[in-house]
Amino acid sequence: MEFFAHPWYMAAGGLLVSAPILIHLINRMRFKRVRWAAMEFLLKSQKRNRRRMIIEQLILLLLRILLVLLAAFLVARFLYGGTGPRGATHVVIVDDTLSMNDAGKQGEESSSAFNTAIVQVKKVARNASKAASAQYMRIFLLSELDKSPIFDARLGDGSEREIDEAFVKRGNKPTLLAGSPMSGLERGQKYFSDMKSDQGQKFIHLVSDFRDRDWTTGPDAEKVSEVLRSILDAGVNLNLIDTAAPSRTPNSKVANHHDNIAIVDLKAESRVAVEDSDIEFTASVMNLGQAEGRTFLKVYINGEESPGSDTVLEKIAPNSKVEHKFTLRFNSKRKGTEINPKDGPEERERKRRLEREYNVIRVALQREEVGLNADNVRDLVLEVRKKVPTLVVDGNKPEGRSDGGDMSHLAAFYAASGIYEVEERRLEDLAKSDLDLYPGVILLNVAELPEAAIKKLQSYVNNGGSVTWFLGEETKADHFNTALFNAGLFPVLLEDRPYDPFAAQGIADPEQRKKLRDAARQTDPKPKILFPDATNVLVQRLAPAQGLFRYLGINVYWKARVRSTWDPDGRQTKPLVVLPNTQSMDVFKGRALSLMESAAAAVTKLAAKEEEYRKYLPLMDEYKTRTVRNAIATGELFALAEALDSLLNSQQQLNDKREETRPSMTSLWQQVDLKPLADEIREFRERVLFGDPLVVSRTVGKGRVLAMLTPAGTNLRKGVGEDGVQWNNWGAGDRIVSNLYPLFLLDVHRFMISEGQAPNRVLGEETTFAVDAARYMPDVSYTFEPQPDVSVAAAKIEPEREKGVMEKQENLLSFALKDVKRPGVFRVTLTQLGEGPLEDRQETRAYAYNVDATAESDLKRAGRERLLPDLPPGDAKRGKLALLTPTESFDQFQEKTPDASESPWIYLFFILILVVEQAMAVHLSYHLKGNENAPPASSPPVAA
Amino acid sequence: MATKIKPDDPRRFLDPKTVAKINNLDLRAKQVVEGFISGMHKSPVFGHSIEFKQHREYTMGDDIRHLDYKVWSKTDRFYIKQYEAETNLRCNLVVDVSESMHYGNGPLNKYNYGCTAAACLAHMLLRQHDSAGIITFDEAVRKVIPARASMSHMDAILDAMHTSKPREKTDILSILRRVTESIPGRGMVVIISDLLVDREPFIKGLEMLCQRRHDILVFHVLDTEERTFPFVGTTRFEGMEDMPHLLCDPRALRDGYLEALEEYLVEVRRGCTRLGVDYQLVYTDDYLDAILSKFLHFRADVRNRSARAR
Repeated sequence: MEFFAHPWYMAAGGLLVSAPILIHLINRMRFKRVRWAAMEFLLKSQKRNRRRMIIEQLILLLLRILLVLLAAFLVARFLYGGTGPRGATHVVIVDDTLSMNDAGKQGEESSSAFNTAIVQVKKVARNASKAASAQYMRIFLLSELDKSPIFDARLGDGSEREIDEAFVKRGNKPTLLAGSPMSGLERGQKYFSDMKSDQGQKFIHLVSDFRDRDWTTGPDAEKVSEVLRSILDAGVNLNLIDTAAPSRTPNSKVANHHDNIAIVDLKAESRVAVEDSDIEFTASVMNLGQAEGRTFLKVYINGEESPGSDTVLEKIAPNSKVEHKFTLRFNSKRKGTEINPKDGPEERERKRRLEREYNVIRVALQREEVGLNADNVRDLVLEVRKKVPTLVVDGNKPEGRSDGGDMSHLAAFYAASGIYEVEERRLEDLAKSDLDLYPGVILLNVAELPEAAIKKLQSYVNNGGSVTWFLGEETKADHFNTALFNAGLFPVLLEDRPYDPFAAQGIADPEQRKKLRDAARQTDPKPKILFPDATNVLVQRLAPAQGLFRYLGINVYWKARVRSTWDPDGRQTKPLVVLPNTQSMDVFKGRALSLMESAAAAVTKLAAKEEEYRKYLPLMDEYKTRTVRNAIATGELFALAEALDSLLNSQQQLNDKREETRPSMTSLWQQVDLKPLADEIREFRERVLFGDPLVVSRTVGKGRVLAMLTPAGTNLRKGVGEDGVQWNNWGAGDRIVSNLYPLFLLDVHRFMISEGQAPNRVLGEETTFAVDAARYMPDVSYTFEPQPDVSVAAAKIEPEREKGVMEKQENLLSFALKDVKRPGVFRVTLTQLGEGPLEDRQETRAYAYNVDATAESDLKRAGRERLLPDLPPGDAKRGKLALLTPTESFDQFQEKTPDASESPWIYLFFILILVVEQAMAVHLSYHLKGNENAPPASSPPVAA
Repeated sequence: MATKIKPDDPRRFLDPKTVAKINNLDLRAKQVVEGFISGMHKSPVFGHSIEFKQHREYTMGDDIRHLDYKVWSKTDRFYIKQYEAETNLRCNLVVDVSESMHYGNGPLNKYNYGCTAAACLAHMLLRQHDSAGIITFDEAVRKVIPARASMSHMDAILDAMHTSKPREKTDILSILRRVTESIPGRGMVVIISDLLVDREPFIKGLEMLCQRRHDILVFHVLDTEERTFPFVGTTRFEGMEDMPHLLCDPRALRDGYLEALEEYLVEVRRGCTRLGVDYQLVYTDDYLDAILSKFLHFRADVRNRSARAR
């Protein structure tokens, strides 16, 4: 009976089989009586037909029994597709991220994608609960994958209500968090792989809006196929239920989406603002719609509208970003205590803590009728200081702390800057310092760092701090290449010893080297340092003066190993200052000539196709036959690089009559066919031009590390094979170069406090900090000021006040802000131990939480082909992948296994048996033949 | 105003309409019959009719009034002149009144139909001054009414056909033997029956009658339902005249039944033909006047043809 979907119907059918027999027997009991004269013939007929009649009647009876059996067979639905239902486990991943707030109209009411998702989940449960076998459902929210499911039960009659209650408990609203559906799918897969007992069929239902960013363009898009395949290969059926509006039509490859304008970024030029100085802010507004957008922008400072900040952003092109820049100036309202030169390090730190002050800058766009509104507000927390302190650790031995030493240049710089101040610490005190107070840490000629200091610095950098290294003769390459590099505190791997280019050329005599160095400075017109990225904060003010650096001398430096060893994909680090390439021309000659051949051929081909490009033919010929060859002939890579630069970037030249004498090469290379070749030439030029890196940055966590592979100072120190050598002359060489050195140091500080937005986070991120238990009370109070809905922007929302106790771990008190799901600003107030009024001992830290607009605001939806990719063939047990829409009935979850009622053959057979039975019945029944008359109803008259 | 006839009134068998239709016909014997009064039928003996038959040499004892003197004068021999004699017909109606004859759907069952036919024939015979008698039988000869030529004999004939408790037929041979014995001389015998008896004794009985030189007519009466067998649904057929019962689906047996019936009819017809017996199969839904007219015309034709042949 287990082969039937409704075995009881089959049992009843089995009983009904006897119906024809019973009818036959009943009919035999109910008969007419006829007194009959001509019995003789009847008996004779009966005797003759006895056997045939029995056989025919038996066949008819069997046919009728068969018909009853077939009818029962159809009603009972014979399961020929297998052993019948074995039960199923449904793991439902409900996307409750920000983009699920997108609402579409359903009749009169508008329903968010999340509300539609709830309806669909209930529909799945309703249908699955109708299955004959045991059905289990576990519902996970995408934002709470690490938590237990919100619903975990065997499906039954009350399941729909329970699911409803589970969602009502969570407010029936999606979160404002960001999340990747891939992690949801991996959670579902893990659930099944952890499942020990076999609970029948396996289903993962991903109920989401299937945005293009999650499936096609985002960081997780690459692993879509891999995740899908591994799920299906594990025999799990995957249903992608798309609940976004407007509803996806069954056969269309693409789905429409709502327009949306979002603030995708708000940043200040500096992480720490100095009192009474201008700070530039940049709000990046992106139009993620399909039509040109227009919006209205307002700026608020600490909840108050900034006067004159109203701006109309007109004509934002589809899929493009507009950067709105505005400048603000802040005054410190907090009365800090002046730092006395006689104060000890701890006292200075205490006073610095008390003077910390945060301002909240909020940018809001006007409310949108469609699309998301949560991404129309963005907060930024900016720390304001009277001066920006920098922690400096000098690793030089006492004898090295002379005039021109590393520290002397920095001290001069701090004295002159006015906005930066130095806090010098010994290396051994580094681990004890409260690094959180300092936006930047500079380490000068440090040999190696103790383990505790490494850990401290690592934590500091990961939380948004910046560390700058100046190397020197004390540097121990082994320590840097292992402990520091592995901790992420140093960006490159160094060669074993310092590098002197002349020593490398085999010039051992120090005097001769000195002469050559002088000659290079005085006679060599080439700049001695180059800037690959001239727009970077660190070098953007130095780059225009690149020509002046011909007088610079980088005599000795730490040579970095081949870049592939410390940055395999070339994306982790950024060489900001490099030395010119010193390799032989022979290395690049062949490649240069072949590239020129390719370029000339490509331009000739283009000119043959399009007449307007014919004017480039003589020019290309000139580059190919003269310019580049001449540069190669000089043997100077710099000359070759300049020739290539001219080839790529030379501008249009006009004569007095404004007639073109030389066309623009920039325009030429913008031609689509030539772009790959242009990129190739550009890359080759960089290889020709750039030599060893001198200043390299690397982003680590929320912070950055910067390494200058030569000292900050200009004093004589141990070189390569000579005792007293000036490693570089930037700070004390020719005046024209040394004047640029303070600018470089200033830019180093700007670099350290720029970009990194340590107190600014996206929702879901965790904020933790630890303070010295000996200095703070464990009680902590904090306020949360939620972001207002833009529709009620004018209303001032009262901050929510909370209290807590910091957790003590060894000598530290730690505090964590976890599970932040609402955007807004947290202000955490800590109280220092000690005497005096409470206000004088309280310090505040602020953290702004915003929605992750980059990840969630783009409502563009993934195409059908992306969601249902052509996967390589798998085995028979592979699960099925389906894309479902809310318009579908989901009755497939009633666990219907293929049954006989779905086969047309069984109906054909049924009809055939029916026809045969009827034919047989007709054959065995009385019918008048053609020449017979029907028997008269009454007796005829005797006479006509 | 027509007089209403009661169901048990013997005169019910004499249907005026039928009688009127056959009134202008007459029933003649196909062969010579021995009558007791002069009539329209040839007699086996010589008589006084005007029809000269033959000359015969005079023998002692012959009436000399019949001597043909013209022949004596020419040949000097005595010849007697003989003439054909004409006599009346003595017809015996042998009517089956057994139980099986009482089967029938409607007012005219086989018994009624057969008796009506017999009454009409008797009336016709008496009207043409022939004598008519009747013998009814079931398990044995039930009544014997000798042939009389008087019209008043009609009531006796009708009374004889009326029966209240029909019984089964058993031995047809003995019945026919009894009939043979009870009819003196040659005459006409009309058998009206459904012939639901064994064929062999029936044919033997006919042979006996033929040996007595009777002119035999057989009216074989069957009911319409016996011809068409129109029954449907499970039916229990209860046999009359000691036949067994049978519960069956009549539709299944119909073809076999009709086939057996046809065989039987062929056999009866063949037997009658062999003996020179006039056989007429009639069904109770046939119009009796038409059947009788047709039959009497047929006999008249046969008689004329045989006369011409002579």
